[in-house]
Amino acid sequence: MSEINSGELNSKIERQKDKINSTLERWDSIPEEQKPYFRLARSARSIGVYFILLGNQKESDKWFTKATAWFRDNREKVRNEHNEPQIAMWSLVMAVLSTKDGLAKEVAVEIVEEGIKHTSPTYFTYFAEGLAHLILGNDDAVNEIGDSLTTLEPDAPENLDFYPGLGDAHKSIVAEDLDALETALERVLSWHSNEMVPMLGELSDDALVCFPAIVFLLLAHKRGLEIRKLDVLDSEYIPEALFNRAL
Amino acid sequence: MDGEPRNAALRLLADAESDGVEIVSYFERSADLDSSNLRTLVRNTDTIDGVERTDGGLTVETEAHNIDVDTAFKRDGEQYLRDEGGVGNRDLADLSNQERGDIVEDEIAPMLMEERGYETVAGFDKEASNEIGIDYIARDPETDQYVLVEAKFTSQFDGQNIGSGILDEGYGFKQMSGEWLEEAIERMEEKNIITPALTDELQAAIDTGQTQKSLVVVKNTEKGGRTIRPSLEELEFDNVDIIQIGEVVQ
Repeated sequence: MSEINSGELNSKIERQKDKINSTLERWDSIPEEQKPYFRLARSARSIGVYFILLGNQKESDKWFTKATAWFRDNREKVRNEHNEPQIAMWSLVMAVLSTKDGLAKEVAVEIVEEGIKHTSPTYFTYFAEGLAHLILGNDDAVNEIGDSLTTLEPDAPENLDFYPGLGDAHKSIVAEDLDALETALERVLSWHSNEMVPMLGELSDDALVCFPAIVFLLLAHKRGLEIRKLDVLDSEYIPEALFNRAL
Repeated sequence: MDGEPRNAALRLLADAESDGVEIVSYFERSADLDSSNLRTLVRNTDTIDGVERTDGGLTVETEAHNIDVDTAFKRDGEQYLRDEGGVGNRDLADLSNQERGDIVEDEIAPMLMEERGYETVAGFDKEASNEIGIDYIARDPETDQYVLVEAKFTSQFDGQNIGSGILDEGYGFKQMSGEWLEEAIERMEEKNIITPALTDELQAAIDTGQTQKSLVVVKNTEKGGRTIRPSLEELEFDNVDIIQIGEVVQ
């Protein structure tokens, strides 16, 4: 990972805040069907990541909460469309990262009760539904989705490690198996480092941190697993500050 | 019954220009534009707005599924690629998939936009690697709208209409969908392909409906004469250019 200093992080925060403010200034004049919730959500997600890298969890919680709200609005807009599964996934991931009481459960109930209508790309649907069931404690459903992910045919060579990693991470949390969780997250982190970072660019928010690994660690912790014993916590893509309070 | 659609098509085409009869004769002579292809083109098209004879062939201007569709039939597809696609004397069989895509992205799409009177946009580095985002960005000086272009070279859709299946997924989103465009603009700014100022202008233009979406497809297939599927309307394209070159790249 490239070194990014606090000056660069603060500059990125200001840039993303400018984008949000400019968008909100013209918000009332934008027709409902064109309202760019995704842009707001994505910027808020980036700001949340930059604050967590600066060690400011209070601010990151605030921005991840905003990102959750905007991703939920975005999901309403793309319901039944191709992009729905990924947006549903982001709404849940942001809710977990916000650490706001009850928010992740609220989003999880929404996803499970309403279902995700569009099922392509498949792994986003599995991931969003798997996380939702994990949050709600529906362990049989988690294991079933975990199996589906583990055996999902990779649609691209770069996903060879990723899908089994995701699937095994789900199942290991249900089984409360720390060793299996470590192995699964190592695969996810390897995919992130080798495939995603070069593609996304080293300084983008979703390259600086590995969202899937973080969300599994937070959910494992919530279930009482002693994640502090895991070596993956030392990964450069797992921001220490996010776990300071949790642990 | 077989003769009716064809006759209707011929009448439409004959009405389209004063020298329509001559154009129809061209259609009938062309191996690529046999009556079956012509019939299909007409059946899948809401209106035919015009027929233009060019040095290299014919362009039929139509509207289908609320999208302006220009279908250009090139008399000599290989020569077209060499002259307009910048291929020169290279052996066409040696072109990699990447190079085939680059022909449309770097040469043909910008040329078509220029022919329409669109201007290049300050702050967009066309030369920079653009695997990650919008293939070309132009500006329509008449409407002051930004034109966001996706360029494709395809050897598929032989004898079939072009639908959203021609568009890939990027970052898990369907190319040219609203989320994909937002993602692409962010990534392009991150990698200095567009300036922050242009990012701001594009986002404002999206919010105020001051953008057009354009798809340029070079179709390297034996059968042509087809148009588009309704799935492209869902992605809110404004304009589609289909350039039928025949199957000239193996």
